[in-house]
Amino acid sequence: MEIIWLVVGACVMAGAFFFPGGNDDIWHSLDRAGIAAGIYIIVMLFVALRKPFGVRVRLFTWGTAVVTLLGLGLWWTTTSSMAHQQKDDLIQIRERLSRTILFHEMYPMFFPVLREYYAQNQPGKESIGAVFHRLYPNAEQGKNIRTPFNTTDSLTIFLTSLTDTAVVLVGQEMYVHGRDGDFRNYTDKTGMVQEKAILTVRGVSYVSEN
Amino acid sequence: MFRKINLSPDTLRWLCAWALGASVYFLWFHSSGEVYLPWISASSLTVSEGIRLYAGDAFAVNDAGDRYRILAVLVAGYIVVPTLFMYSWRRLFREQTDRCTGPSLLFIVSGAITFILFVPAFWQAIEVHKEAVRTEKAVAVQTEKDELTQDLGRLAYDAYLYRLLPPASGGGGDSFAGYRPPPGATSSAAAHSEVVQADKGMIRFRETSGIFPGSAVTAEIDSTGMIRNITYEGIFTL
Repeated sequence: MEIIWLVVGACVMAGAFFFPGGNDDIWHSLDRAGIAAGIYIIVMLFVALRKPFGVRVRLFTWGTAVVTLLGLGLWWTTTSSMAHQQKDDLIQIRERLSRTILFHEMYPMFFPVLREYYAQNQPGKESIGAVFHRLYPNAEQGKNIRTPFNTTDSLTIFLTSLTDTAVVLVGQEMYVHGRDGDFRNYTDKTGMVQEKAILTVRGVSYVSEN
Repeated sequence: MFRKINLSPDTLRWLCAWALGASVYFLWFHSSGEVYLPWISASSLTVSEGIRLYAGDAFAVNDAGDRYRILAVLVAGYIVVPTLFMYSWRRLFREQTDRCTGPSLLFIVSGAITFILFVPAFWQAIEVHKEAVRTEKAVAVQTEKDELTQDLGRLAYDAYLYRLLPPASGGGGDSFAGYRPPPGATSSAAAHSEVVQADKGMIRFRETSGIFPGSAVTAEIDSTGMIRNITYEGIFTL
């Protein structure tokens, strides 16, 4: 009899675990299997606790089982929500970190340009674009001008436009997702963090694009 | 001096099972065995995924082995063990035997494992719930602190830009004096930023939290655009 119970229980749980649906998150499989296990235990208790067990034994066992199963359910769901919260927090920290680094690298690149531009006897003699090109001779339009810190540093900064009146830098993450999953990035990526800094003679405007 | 205590075989079996379960639980399972529980294993996989994404790793990890292990523990712990425990108990209850037979041993071992897997659940659930509440508050404080500090960084560059631009272009002409934070300078609608002091070579900002009253971040920006002397107040000092 036990063998039949064991085989049926294992099959029901494996079926629930591998039931197609949801995404790759292991919790979808685990939650289904957990519900199947809970139902199995309740049904098994109904059958196993019939006579000759007395009413007091049955009541006590049912009481203990209900409290314990509720506790397991609470432990399970709290652990799940904590784990997902920690994962989301890590992703958010990385996103914030990427934005902060891009901001602190792109924005100050324009400070010496503006300083030099306004230090000219006649502002406008050398255009803002020309000053940028003179100070950053290696910056080529359309190319990544940033040197990564290490192999996991996936930040890039592109000089996307250089004219006499404006210089545009676009900072982009290669693997960290931004706010909009459908956003078309400067490179062929989709949905990544992207920030833009524009220098004109009036100053710098900074836009968080995604 | 000592009185002989007569215990029924049934009571003795329950005592043995519970004592064995409690011993294993307190000596090993509570400190290092809980990692084998399916939801703890799954939680570890989820956090590892978060760390992988944090590190900027673009490639998915094949966790098929972990999935099979989790399923195996689920089947063993929450199907096999309770079934064997209930049925061995039922058999012993029906037969009313006082011999140390196979069903007795099965009852004691499966009873001990059932104790380990089920009995501490409610207490553990309360502990984990308390931890979740503590973590949530700590993360909220840290997030607000980070956002206010970032706001100060943005203000610092905006103020330095103001200093660089000539008065004809709306700047301060080599001075921070007269600088005012632009509207929407704070990332949180409830936060408030103000200039505490501004002169030729230095400007000091104070960013007050709207979420945590009495908490604020203060920073100075010098004539080179460097942020210095960042100080925290209120809950941010904890």
